[in-house]
Amino acid sequence: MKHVMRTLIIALVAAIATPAMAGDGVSVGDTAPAFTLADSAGNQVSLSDFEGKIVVLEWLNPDCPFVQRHYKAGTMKNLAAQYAGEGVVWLTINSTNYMDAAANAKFKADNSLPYTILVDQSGKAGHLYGAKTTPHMYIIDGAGTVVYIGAIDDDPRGNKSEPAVNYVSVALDEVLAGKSVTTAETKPYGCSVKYKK
Amino acid sequence: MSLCRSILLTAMCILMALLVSPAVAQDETRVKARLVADTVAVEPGSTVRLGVHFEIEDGWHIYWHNPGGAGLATDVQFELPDGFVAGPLQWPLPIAFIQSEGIPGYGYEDSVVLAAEVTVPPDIVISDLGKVRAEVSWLACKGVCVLGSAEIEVSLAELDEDPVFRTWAGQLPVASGTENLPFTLSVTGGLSEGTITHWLRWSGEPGAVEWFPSPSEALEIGEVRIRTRGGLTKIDAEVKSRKGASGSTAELSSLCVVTTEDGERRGWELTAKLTND
Repeated sequence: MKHVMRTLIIALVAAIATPAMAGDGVSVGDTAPAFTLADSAGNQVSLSDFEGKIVVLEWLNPDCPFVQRHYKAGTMKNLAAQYAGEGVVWLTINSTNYMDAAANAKFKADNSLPYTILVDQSGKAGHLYGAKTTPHMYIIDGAGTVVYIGAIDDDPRGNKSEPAVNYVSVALDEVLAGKSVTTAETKPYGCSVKYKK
Repeated sequence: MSLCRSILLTAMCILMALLVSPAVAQDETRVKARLVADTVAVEPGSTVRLGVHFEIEDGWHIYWHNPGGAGLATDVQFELPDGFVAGPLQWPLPIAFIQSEGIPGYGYEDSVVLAAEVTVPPDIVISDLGKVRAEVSWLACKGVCVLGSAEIEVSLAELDEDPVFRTWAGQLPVASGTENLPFTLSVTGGLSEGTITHWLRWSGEPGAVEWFPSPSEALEIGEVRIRTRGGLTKIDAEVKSRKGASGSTAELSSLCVVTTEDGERRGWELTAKLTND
């Protein structure tokens, strides 16, 4: 009995000591896990609504200076517009715990964003994908497979003297050309996703 | 009408200034950065330590060279007079914190000195030393994050021995490959196993053990588990390579830090092979 108790206690301590890591998420080559979230206007949006299409997922937090820099530069908006003509769907997900539909609707209006912002205050989609940073980018190909995970570009500080390599753009070009993605994973940079505790 | 317009314009300007200035002011108050040296006088042919002393507001942190799952490494770029050569930036032992649910972070609270050894050319004319500049940038976080930067300049002739260097060397890790380590290291696993395990055999119970993976573009470190039983510490880390990312996946560099019961911290750099090639 004593032995059983001790084993139980050790198992319990081990369970407490190893919290679920955000990094569990998805890997390149995985089937993109399904999710349904409300957008900033209250409409239910599911990944399955875009079956057969190439989908870009962008993790957003308007309070994060890295996100602010890219929105000021128009990085996401320009990229989304550039590839919309090729049928690429751009979904922005905000897993910031304190940002509700109204806060996201305001950001969408203030920046005249043509794409949907999905509200993920509970962090369920963020944890499902293992999103760690804002921004954190994912590309899902037409077959529903995750083909890119990582940073938006190779310029975390935004001060490179030569033009930055936009990993998402390069990967989308390869996917659209029917090629496999060469740089399929990069280290994401930015603020940590402010998940609900 | 024109008076109205100018009042309106002034009001708008003030409003804009109010909207814009807090971010700048925050940077300045969250983190203060100043140039420091460990010498009273720069001598021709000598080596001096030149660094940036960061003072960080309570509750905020800035980042180690591997920021962890998110964040941004603090950056210091020295601009030195001709002939002066700065070595690599040396990083004191970091602390670990949770940035957000399940996202580890590595960095510094309160204060830290990021310094480099600078070689002074032998033929320098002391009276004509010129200035050193440092371009510094950091990300400071406390729930929210604020980017900060500073350009600091000091005349070499005015450099003074800064008291922050009295304890600084003791906060640096012992370099990998050093002899007479207080443990023997063996490593099992690797990329093909998806887990790498560092086994450290100490002569006695070591104290609290922490582990910090070094920066890597090509390697992703997942869950880390550390167990110490008596004099044996087992550090399990999930590891995988990022497909197509730049950088080497042959080795994993890391840092092991021990905190003794009386709060003293010591650290050792570790190097482990990840493949059998």
